Amino acid sequence: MLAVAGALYWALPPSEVERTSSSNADEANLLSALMEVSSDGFQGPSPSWKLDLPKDHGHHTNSRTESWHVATHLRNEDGKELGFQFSFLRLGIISGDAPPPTSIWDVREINRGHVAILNTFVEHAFGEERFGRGTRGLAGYDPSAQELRLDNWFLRFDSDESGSYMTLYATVLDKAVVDLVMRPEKPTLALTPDDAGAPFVGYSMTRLAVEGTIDQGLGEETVTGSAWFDHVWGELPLPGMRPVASDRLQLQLGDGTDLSVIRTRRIDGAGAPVLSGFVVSPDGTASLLDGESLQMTSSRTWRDPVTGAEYPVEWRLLGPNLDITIAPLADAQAFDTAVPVWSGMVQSSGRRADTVVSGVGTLQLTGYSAP
Amino acid sequence: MTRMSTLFSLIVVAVLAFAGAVWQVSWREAPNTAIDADQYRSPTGPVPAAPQRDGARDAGRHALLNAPYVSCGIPYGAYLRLNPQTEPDALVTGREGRNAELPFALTSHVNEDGVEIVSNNCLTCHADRINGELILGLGNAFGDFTQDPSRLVLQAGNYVQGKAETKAWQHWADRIDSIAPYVQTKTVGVNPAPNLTWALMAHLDPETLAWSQIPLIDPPPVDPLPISVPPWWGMSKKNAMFYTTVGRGDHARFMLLASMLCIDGTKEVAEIDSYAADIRAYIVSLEAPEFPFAIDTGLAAEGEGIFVRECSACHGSYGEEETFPNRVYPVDEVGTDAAYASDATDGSRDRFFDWVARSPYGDIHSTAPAPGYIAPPLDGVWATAPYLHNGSVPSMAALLFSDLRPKYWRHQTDPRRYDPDILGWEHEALNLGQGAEKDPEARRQIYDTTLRGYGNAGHTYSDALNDQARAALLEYLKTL
Repeated sequence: MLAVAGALYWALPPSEVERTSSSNADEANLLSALMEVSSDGFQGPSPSWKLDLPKDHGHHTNSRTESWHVATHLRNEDGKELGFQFSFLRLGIISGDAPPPTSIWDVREINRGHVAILNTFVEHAFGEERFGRGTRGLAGYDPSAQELRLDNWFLRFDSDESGSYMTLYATVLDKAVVDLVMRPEKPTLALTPDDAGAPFVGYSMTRLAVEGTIDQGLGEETVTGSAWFDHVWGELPLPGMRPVASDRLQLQLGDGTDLSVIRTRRIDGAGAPVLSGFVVSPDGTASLLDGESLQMTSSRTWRDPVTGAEYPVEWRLLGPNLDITIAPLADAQAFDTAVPVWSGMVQSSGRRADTVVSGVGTLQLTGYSAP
Repeated sequence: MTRMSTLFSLIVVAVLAFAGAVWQVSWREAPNTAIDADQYRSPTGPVPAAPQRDGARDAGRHALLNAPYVSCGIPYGAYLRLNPQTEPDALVTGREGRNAELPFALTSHVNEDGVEIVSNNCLTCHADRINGELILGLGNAFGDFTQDPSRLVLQAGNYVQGKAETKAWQHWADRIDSIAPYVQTKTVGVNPAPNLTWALMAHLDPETLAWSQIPLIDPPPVDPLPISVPPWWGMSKKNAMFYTTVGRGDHARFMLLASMLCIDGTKEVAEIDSYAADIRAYIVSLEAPEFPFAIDTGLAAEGEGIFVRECSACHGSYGEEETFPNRVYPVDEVGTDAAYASDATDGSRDRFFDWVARSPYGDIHSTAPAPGYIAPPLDGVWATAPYLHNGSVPSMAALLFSDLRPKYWRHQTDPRRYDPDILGWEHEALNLGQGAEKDPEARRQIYDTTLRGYGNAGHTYSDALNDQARAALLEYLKTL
């Protein structure tokens, strides 16, 4: 377990859709409005919260916001790299502690799902975004099926004689069908509050083995790879609606180490960014990184031709026993959506603890705009 | 209290202690020849009294606990997201409205744009618990100023909504971000207030108090010297404020510096000054807490004689006929860590003393440190561990016998417990200092007396006593 929920939180789902140049102001305003109508009655996590799986895979309806996020790094049988991300946000309108609804039209929560796929062969990312209203069997978490669902997308939590596993199924704009099974390779990392409590809690599975298929219109391709899964709930900071933004990096290194770093900064450019993060050893032992001894500096930017936003897509991460360079598998992994975001696959190379390491990862950049 | 610890650790606040700090090469500047250094110095020896304004004690307590003298902070909505619950033991009586629901160290007010703000108040550094009882005026010996306060700024920013809240947050964030490099101590428990104050002065025009994002004078050095927050009840006896007696003249006016974090113009200072004398009246009315454990009265009586013989000349006498010498002793004579006093008087802080003289906070007589330390009044000294101006000695037992002073030590904090036998918080001596500790969390818990300004030497007068005499003296100190 790691007593640092605040330091660990991985990105909420960006609102990714097919690349367009349309304005996203209305959608951003919608999100703000939804947050405003969210009623009182929600509870923050208890400082004494302890992870309880599989129960905690499900929703926590007395929390105002909740997020599930899967990032995968896959290869087909030809060795071609593919990336797939799945994000699901539950935005509570009425706390689950309230009396049961008297009508099926009572809206208790809003769901926002997003999937995105990167085919490095064509260096093009595309995605799809959906909204739901918490109708059991159609949108939201269904305890009886132990699955998170948004129409035909689902993330199901299950177990067999080999242990627990997750099944993830999604279609992407009728252009792709993704069907993956993911099994954890490390102990689950509980993001527990410290003595002072935390606005949110949750857990991470920093390395899962993935098997499955992806069909991009040319027939099913068998894929294998790794995934990183986060599930957090409580008072989650929603990106894009605040005066601060974050650059979030998750790396799975070839030596079996997993690394999470968050670089938070003021959007107005004032002040200095602060870093926080953690490292998970091959045996699953987690430890905090000293944010004040880390440096994360951009070495190359890429301008989004649609929005004009200048995204720092290449980075160097320096710290005690750490010198890693991060580069994107493709530059064009930006999404002009409610929260404009660059969210995509990266690869890394460098040294950790005096050993040469390479790895794969996910980088999410928010809060960048046209200069 | 637990939820407050986060804020303690990250919000920087009220300044009621003054000191110098270490120059780093990058900030070293040529002496400012336009400043007459002599006018900002006091001699060692007796500290003369200065006239003080009268004030209303009860009104002062009310203002201390309710008034928005630190006028920027976290928008309440964001605060609530981060701190949804207030522990019952963090509440204090005498607060009104929202303040009655907030931890004692936080104050709420609504700003001119209608945004409710939660900001730290003086009690962040000037209140603490011993044996389950909250003692207003007791220096906080467990505040954590080792962390970068910009982290809290950004954390709170994640929960700010709308333009008005964003504007309020930016005001607070600009101030915190500007002082962040100058307020991070090496060890949990010591206070960086002097450097915080100097850093703010660097950004404020002394005459208009207009804020400049770019420093107008050189900021202080980055590493603050550590200060142990002195108890407020000593103010009733002291003729000048702070260890080097830098705070002279009108004490209530000088205290206004505590509200400087968010100040924006002279009008706000005038408003706070209208009740500053009341707050001072409340502070000087505070009495030291009584020792809440058993005392061996016979042994204490034996110790009183030793105290009168060995200690009273500097620290005064106690009981029905109280006296207090109000004397500053040269650093060379008392032998305690010199950095705080020498930095205050070597000219490297004169630009800040000059700033005060030009500002509404004082005049040319307001800031005049002496090259030494005042021997403080010892009322309630049992409660004020760790000892010396930098909090380098964890217990009175160790203060009275220097062989017991650990070179490296840390407080036991889970839970923290007061040890009435040694007059100090439970702690453990360590074999290695901060340099040998790789874990940053563990490192910041270590009090390393080899660091500059953190030394535990000096004031060894009672080393010459035998064990019985020291035990008697310690017992007597429980009675003060």
